Amino acid sequence: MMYLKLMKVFFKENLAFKRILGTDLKSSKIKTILIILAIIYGFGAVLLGFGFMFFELGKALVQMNYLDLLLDFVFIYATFLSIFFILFRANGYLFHYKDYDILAPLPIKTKTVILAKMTVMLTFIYLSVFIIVAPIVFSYFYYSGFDVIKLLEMIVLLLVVPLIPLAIFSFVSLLIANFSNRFRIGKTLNIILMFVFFLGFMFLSMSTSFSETNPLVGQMGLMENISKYLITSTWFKSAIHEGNVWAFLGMIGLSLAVVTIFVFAVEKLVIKTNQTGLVTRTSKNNKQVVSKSRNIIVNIIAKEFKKFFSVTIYVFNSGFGVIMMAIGGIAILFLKEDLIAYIDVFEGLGLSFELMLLLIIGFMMSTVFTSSISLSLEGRNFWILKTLPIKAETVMFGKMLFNVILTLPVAFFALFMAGIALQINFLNLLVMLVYVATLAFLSSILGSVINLHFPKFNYINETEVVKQSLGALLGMFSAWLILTVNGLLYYYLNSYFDFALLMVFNILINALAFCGAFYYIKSRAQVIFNKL
Amino acid sequence: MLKITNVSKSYDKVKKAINEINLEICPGDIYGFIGHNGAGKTTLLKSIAGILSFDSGEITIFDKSIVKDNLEAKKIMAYIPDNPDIYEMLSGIQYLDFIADAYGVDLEKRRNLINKYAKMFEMDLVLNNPINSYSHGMKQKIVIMSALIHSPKVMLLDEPFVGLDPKASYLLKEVFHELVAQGSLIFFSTHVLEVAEKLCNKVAIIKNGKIVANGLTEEIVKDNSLENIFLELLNES
Repeated sequence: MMYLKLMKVFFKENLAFKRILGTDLKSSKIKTILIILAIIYGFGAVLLGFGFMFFELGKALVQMNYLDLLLDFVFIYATFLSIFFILFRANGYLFHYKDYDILAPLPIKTKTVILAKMTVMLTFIYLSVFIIVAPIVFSYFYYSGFDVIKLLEMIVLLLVVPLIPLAIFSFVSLLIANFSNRFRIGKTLNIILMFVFFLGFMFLSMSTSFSETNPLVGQMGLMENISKYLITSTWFKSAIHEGNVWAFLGMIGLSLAVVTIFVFAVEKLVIKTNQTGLVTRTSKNNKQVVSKSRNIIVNIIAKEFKKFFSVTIYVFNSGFGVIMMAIGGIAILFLKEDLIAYIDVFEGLGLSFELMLLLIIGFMMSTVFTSSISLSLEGRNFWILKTLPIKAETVMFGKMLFNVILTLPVAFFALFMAGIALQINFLNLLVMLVYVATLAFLSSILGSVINLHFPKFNYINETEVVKQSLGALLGMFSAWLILTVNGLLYYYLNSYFDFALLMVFNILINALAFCGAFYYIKSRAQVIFNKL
Repeated sequence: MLKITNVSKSYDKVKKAINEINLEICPGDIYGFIGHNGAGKTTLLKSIAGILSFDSGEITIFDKSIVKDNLEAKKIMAYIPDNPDIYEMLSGIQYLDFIADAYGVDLEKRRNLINKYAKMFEMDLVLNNPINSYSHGMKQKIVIMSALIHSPKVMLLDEPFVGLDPKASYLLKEVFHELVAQGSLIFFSTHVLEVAEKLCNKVAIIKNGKIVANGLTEEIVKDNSLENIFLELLNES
C-alpha cells in the first residue's frame, strides 16, 4: 500500500536521529552521552516540574470533589499544543511541502500523499501531547484510582483530539504564510500576532494566580470556561470520568468525520498551493541601488538581524525572553506592590530580592540563545561563509555579539526599572548591571562554542533547529549552568560577604570563563570550521 | 508519442511563461529543448511531468492526458529535475526502492536494473550510504537511476548533464540511445548546444515562452552551427 510506503519514507526523512539532533549517534560517544543526558534532563524537568504542580492541584481538587477538572486540563493542553504545532507546521507539511517536485511526477494519488503527510505531522503532535499531559494523567489516575480501560480510552481520545484543530487551523496556517509572503510587513505583523496570542493566553491563565504558589490554580477558571463551550471537551470528560460510551464514540466519530471531509476538501488546494509555491516572482523597481561598505563584524550582525526577523519561530522562541523582560520592565512600575509581596515570600526563605531579580532576569536571558543555533541556521548556505576570506573566529564573534545586542539592552532596561521601583541601592544596582553584562557575554560565547561542536545544517524547516536541535537545548542549559555556579557561590559565601562583594566574585568568575571561551574560539574555531 | 497542443501558462495572469506551445515527440526521438534563462523550458517540462498545471491546451503521453488521466500518464514517464534535491536521510537503495514501489516495479526487474545501472554509474559500493553523504554528481546519478528503474517510455530531463563527470555524461548519452532503441522517447533541456547538436535528432528553441524553431536538427542547423542559429534567433526582435 502506497500510504505505508510513503509513511516509511517520511518517517525516515523526518525522524532520523541525524535529522532531529543534527548529529550521527555513532560518530561520537561524548555526543551520544550528552544527548542522552540532555534528553533525560528535558523529560525529567517537564515530568517532575509539571508533575509536582499537577499532583498538588489534584490533591486540592479531590478535596473539592472536582477531580474531573483535570480532564479539562488534559483536553485543553492537548488542543492548544496541537493548535500551536499546526499553526507553525501545517503550511510546510501540507500546502508548501518541499518534496513536491519529487512526489508530483510519481504515479501516487494526492490524497495518499496528504494522508501520509498528515500522519507524520500528527506523530510529532502526539509525541509532544503525550509528554506534556503525562503528569496530568498521572495525577488524575493517582487520585481517581487506576483503571486500564479508562487509560486506554484516554489514549484513544487523545489520538483524535488534534484532528479537528488540524482541519481548522491548517487553513489558518496557510493564511498566515500567504499573508507573510505577500506583504512586506506581513512577517512582522505575523510575529506580533503570535506574541499577542500567546502572551494573551498567558496573561489570562495566570492573571488570577499571581499570589498563588501553584500557578495552575489560577488556570482552573479558564479551563472550566473554555471546556464549557467545547462539545468535544464535554464528551472527552464524560467518556473518561463517567464511562459514557456514547460520548466516547461521538468524539471519535465527529473527529474522524471532520478530518475525512478535510482530506477530500483540501486536495485541490494542496495541489494549487504547492504549484504556486514553486514560483519565484522577481519584482522590479526603479529605486536607486546604493552600495555600502561596512566592517565585516557589523555585516555579520546585520545579517543575523535579518535572519532573526525573517523566521517567525526564531523570533518567537529566542525572542520570548526579550519581550518578557521588556514587558516586565514596564509592568514593574505598576505591579510594584504585588512584586514586593511575592518576593517577600522568598526573602522569608533567606533569599534577597536582588538575588531573586537576578534569577528571574537570568532565566529570561537563558531563553535567548541565538548564538547556539545561528551557525546551524546557515544550513545549506554555510558554504558561503566557509569560502569567504573571513576568519572563523570573526564569524563566531559576530554571531555572539548579535546575541548580546539582542539581550543586554533589554536586560539592562528591565533591571534598571526594577532598581528604581524597588529602590535598590546604587552600588548593588551597579554590580547587578555589570553581572548581567557578564552573564550575557558568557552565555552568548558558550552558545558559539556549543554551535561549533553541535551544528545542524541539514534541516527541512528552521523549527527543527530552533526547537529540536541539540545546540538549542545545550544553549539554554549553558546559561542555567552559569546561573547555578553563580548561585552556589552566593549560597556558600553569603554569610561571610555582602551582596555587592559576592556579585563582584561572580563577575570575576564569569569574566574569566568568558576569556577562556574567547581564547578557545580564537584558537580552535578555524580548525573546527574546516572540518564542518 | 508525447503531444503538446496549444499549451500556455502564466504565473501572474499578465505574462505568459509558455505561450501556445505545440510539439510532437515520437518514440525513438532524442529531442533537445534549448532556450535562454527564463525562456520557459522548466515550466514546460514541469507541466508535462504533472508538477505544474497549465492554463490552456493539452498534453498527452501515449494518448493519456496528463490532466484527466494523470496517474496512468505518470506511470510511463520519468522526470529528472535540474537540481537533485531528494530525501537526504534515506540511503541510495532505500530511495531507489521507494521510487520502484511507486511505479510498481517487481523485485526481480528492479534488482536487475539497479545492478545494471549501479555498476554502470559506479554507484554499487555506495548504495547503502545515506544520500546526505553523496556528492552533487552522485545525487544526480541516483536520480537518473531512479528514473530508469521502470524503463520509462517517456523521459523528461531538465539540464541532465549539469554536475555529471565526463564519464557519467557519456554513459547517460549511451542510456539515451539504448532507451530510444527500445521505443522510448527523450525530451530534455540543455544549455550545452554542442551536446544538443550531436546527440539530438530533433531540437526545439524557445524564446520568451514561444517556440521559435523546431524540427530535425540537421534541417535547422544546415551548414551553420546550432550555436549561431540560437544566437541569431535570440537577437531577432
